[in-house]
Amino acid sequence: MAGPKIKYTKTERARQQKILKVSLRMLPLFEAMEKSLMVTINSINEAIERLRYAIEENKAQSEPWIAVLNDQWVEIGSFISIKKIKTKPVDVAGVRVQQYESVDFDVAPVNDDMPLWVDDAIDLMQDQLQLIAEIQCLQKQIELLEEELLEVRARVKLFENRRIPNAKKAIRKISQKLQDDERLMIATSKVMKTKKAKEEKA
Amino acid sequence: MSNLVYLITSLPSLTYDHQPPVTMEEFMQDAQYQLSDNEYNKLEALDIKKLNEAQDFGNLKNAIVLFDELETDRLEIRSAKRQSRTPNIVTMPSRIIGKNPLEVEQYLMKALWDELDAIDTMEQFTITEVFIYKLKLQILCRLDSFNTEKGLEILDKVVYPAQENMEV
Repeated sequence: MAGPKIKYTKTERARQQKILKVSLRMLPLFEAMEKSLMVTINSINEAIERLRYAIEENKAQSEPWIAVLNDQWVEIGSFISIKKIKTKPVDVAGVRVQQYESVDFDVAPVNDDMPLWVDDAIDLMQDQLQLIAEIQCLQKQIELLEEELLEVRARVKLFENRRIPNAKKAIRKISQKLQDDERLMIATSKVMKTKKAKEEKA
Repeated sequence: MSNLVYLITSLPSLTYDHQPPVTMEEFMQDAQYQLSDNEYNKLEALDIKKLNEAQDFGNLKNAIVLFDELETDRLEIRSAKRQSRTPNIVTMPSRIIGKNPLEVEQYLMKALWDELDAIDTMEQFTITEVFIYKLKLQILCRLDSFNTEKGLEILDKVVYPAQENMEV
């Protein structure tokens, strides 16, 4: 595909030089932004891994008694549910995301005739649900940060592969053309001068 | 009387820590055939979960008293936990406090089982033996329901499907 037609003028060369200057100044900024986003995404992924580990740890710690959850006397599944996950907006690597704060639970009252393990099971479920809610918030943050990362990467590529090379190429071509024109002009005027001098001599 | 003897002799024996050899439905069905309406209604009303509410079960008095005492300790443990203090328990041994929830339930069931066993040895082909059989069967059925795999499934069912409802 042919590129846009270049105007071989000093104004156009000045314009291209300005584009090059701005692009060279912007590229490191976008590269730093890309790096910062990648570092942030990695650290969030690590945080998710830590939370997943905590979930597994809780599960492992409760395994010696988890059998009791199947107690035919109690329907534990109906005791707890999430009412609301509380978050607050924060800026992470320049992106507005929701940060996990806490979970509001709907916990059914535990009557005195309920077995003691019901309290432990509710504590365990609350812990696990909180950890999962936190993971979900972080995953949502990653989604938003990755969207931003894609945009930033596209810009870096645009500067690296199109804007800067195109501007450099245009400047070189224009300079070449202007130089050729100048040489041609000098040569022509020299020829004209010589011709005129010969004519005057004759 | 002969019906009662027939019922008691036809029931498979119950052993602690073993699977229940008969389901509660099967037992109650057999009992319904062999007992009078009055006896059956009393048997049906009897429930180990609400042993403290059991009335007109004079021979089960010791088990009912123990149940009440364990209940008091249980409430004390729950209350102490909520208030972050050491529970002051009377009937249960203090070592129970450090036990995990499954071990606590197993202890409670064993304590009741032993008490029922003690009463049972003094009964010979009486309706009390049938009552004890039901209570013991309830204990075995409950203990049999404690299952690690199913417990984990229940935990996952409560914890993971909730994700879909989470609005972040």
